[in-house]
Amino acid sequence: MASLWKELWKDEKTNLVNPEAFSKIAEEWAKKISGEDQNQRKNKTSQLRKFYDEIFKLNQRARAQESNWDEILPYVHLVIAKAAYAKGRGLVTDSFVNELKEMLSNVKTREHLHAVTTFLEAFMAFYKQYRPRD
Amino acid sequence: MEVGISSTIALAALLHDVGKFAQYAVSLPEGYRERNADLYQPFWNNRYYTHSHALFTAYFLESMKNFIPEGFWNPNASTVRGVAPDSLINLAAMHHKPETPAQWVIAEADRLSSGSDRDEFTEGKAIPVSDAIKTKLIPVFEMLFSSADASRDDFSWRYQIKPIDATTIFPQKDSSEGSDEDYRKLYADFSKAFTELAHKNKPLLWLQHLDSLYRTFTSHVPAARVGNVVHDVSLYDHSRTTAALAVALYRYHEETDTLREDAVKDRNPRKFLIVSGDFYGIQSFIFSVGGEQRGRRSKLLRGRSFSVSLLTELAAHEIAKSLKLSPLSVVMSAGGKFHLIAHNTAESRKKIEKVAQKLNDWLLDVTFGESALGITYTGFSPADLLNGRFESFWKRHIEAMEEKKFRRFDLSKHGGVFKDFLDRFRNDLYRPLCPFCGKRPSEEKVENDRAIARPNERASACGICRDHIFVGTKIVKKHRVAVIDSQQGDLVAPLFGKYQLKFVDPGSTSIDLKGLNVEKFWDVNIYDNGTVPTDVTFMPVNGYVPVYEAYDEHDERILAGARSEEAKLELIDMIREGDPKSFAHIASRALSFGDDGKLYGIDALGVLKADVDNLGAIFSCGFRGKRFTMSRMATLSRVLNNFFALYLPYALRNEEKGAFCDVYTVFAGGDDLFLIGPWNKIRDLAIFIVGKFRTYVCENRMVYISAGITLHKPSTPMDVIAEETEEALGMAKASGRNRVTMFGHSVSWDAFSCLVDEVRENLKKWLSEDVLSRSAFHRILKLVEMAEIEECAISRGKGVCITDIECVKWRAFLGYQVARNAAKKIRDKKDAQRVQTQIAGQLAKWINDYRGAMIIPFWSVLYDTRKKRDF
Repeated sequence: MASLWKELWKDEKTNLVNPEAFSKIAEEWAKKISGEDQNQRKNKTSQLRKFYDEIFKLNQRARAQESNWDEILPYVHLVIAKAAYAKGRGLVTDSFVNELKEMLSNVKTREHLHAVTTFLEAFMAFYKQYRPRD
Repeated sequence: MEVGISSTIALAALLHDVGKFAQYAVSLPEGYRERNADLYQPFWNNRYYTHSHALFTAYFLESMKNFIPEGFWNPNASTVRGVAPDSLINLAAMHHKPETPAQWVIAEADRLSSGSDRDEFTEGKAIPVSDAIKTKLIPVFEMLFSSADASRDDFSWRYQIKPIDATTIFPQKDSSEGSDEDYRKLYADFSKAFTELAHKNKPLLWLQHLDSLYRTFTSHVPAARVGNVVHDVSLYDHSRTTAALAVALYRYHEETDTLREDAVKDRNPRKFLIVSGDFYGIQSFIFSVGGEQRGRRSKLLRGRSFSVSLLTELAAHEIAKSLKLSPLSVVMSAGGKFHLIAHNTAESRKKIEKVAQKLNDWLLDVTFGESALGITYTGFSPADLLNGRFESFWKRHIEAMEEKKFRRFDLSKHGGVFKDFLDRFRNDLYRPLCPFCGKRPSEEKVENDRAIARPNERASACGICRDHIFVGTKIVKKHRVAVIDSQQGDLVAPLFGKYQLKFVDPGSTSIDLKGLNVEKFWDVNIYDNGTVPTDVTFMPVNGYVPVYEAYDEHDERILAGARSEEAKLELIDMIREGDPKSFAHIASRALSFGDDGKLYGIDALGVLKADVDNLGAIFSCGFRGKRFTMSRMATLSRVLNNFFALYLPYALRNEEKGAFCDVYTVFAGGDDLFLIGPWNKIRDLAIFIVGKFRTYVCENRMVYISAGITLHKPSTPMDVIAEETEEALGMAKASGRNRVTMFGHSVSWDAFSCLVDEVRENLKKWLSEDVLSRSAFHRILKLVEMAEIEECAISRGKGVCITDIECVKWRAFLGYQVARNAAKKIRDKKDAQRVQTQIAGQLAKWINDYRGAMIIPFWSVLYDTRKKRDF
């Protein structure tokens, strides 16, 4: 799988997204991540949702009028650290953290964050299909 | 009634080739050939007689002498130079060996008609004379847009050599050959029906009946059958064009006092006029509303639709009559348009203008300018019919017709307000303004008339609307109608101020017509078994109308819903056996009983408006060069009309085990249809019609239909229904044609068929098996909307902008929705997951393929399975 960040965009400069990223690629990633731990102890829906929820809230703040993007951006990067911590505790897999890190570290603008949040939303929706009983 | 020479010429020209049909079916009496061959047949190269069909034409007329009205044997105009009193046989049978000017008229008309039709295959084998009997007619639809160098073998569809009826009008992919047996059977039935033609004592009426009979029996007999000829013109169309040309040619030479052989044969002067009529404002004529039409709308619509056909036919009739032409001079008439062939003289042009003025004055008076009749005429010479010259002439004429549309009325005469309009109102009437049209003042003479009021009920109407309701009721019950030029009749407001109607029982001809000037006598319905009436003129303008039957009184569907007791009683009261069903009753037929004995569905009307796409292009570009001829134009117009006017009523009554028997025809004819029925039946009917139409047009990919389907409560005003359905049809056309619009989405017919059959069936199954719930359906419908937005964004070609990003998540949400809501009742986890994956995959594929159009199956299932409130 190519870099998820690159897959997200058809033209990053003009904020045009690649529709396939939110369907085919999000599904492929959901399938891959959901099956990485045979015992199904890692990458539980509840764990992944924590990261998604945090990013979702940051995105909400970013989209609110009069918000200060410079104050929000550090918290976006903080999520990478939190993911690394979860990996250390054996709750999530390497590849999940690596991909998340790659995406979040590329976020420079509000639009970037919105695209990543939407992608994760699609990913979480597909995840329910692959790990329905978590 | 006296027979004029025009009608004798018309009869002789119509039957001039009847021998082609008879020659394979009968044997001539001993000695007949020897005695008569020299009279009727050319002697080729001093070796043998040719054109033996002419001999059989003479024999046919002789043998039928007792069944042909006497007037035709002794036309009152027999003193006209060149026409002997006993000339009918000679006029008809001497067309290959003409001797008098009148015989030359028919011979010339025959040559012009067949010469103009005759195109030859440049490739492939010629048909030897001995194989003529084997030749079957190639359908005109297969010929459309075909290559000029195609050979006979490239055409695989044929018509059966049988009389036309609801089933035989369909061509077949058929390599079998015509036989003696085909002709013998056809001829035997034809001759029997010939002897049974009604109204022999009214020759002009009889002539119209014969024309109708001849159409039934010779529409599938090829006119030319040997050599390299392209055999796609029927004997009927050739004969009918010959008749119209012969009458016009005769009238031209008679009026210009040039009835001489050399003048008749001169093809350069502009001897002919094509006169065309176009009824403008059909929609507003049929759908005008005045607010109160409760329970009588279906009758009113039927009456109005019938009146449009009637007025168009009568307009053509008035022109033909004023020019002393024959009823056979009208070569095409369908869908509110007609074309007739007249003689081009100063006198006839003056008369046409006068009649057009008179007809329009009446129309203007009754419709206040909403409807009008555009009459256009263009002169042409006999030579214009030959060598591929007809195409450019016809295009010129059509352009003139189009231009006429913008000059409906003479503004200098009719501009301004309608004088005395307000003075016509009578405020002492129950409703001074007619409640049915909302335009004309009510009239005292129809106050509380039985056609518009129930016993002990007050009602007002204008004479025209009263007549429409009356006609709408009668025509459904009686099936036969006589048009009379008289003041006595069943109408309050005679058509064009002079034509009255009398309704006659089905199958009967025995109405007392003595002393009445009967101009037309029509049977307006195909028989239940699909055959057509042959004793009188068959004019299929009635469509199919569902009527109340005894069991309707016990059908509880009509009582469903939250109607008041009073409304229910009124609905029950409307049920009278044989009367047209009201729209409320038709809508209730969309409901069905579930296994629990309860009612499900919604009682909504479905309205279907459809027409043939690019009709102008089909007519103007379908045939090129030598194939562009008047007979082919007439054939195309007639066969198209047959599908809608002849087959469709049969299909609604009989096809698919009566599945469509509650569908009401507002109009169906020409190239379009407007049907009202239970909404779910209309949806299925649209697919059925298109499938049949594909076969009907020999699967020619250039001929197709677009349709619009809308859903309405039965109480929706008719003009709103008409407008919305027109919009839906417009949408189908705007999005590429050959499509259908339903629930505001246009899709191709293949997609529609898949959505309604495969997709809907699956959704229905999932719902009934509780694999998906109704609320899940509604949630998935939101995703369908997102998918539609995504497609719009992508189709702009620039990708999806971040501001539209919500829509790209539909696939992911679909997976989530299905995982959360589907197959909840399956206990085994693995089984449940397998079902969910299958459903999610299938739905994603459908939504990806059909996008917003997926609401068609979703809403279909939701509506069909909605629980009806107790009744």
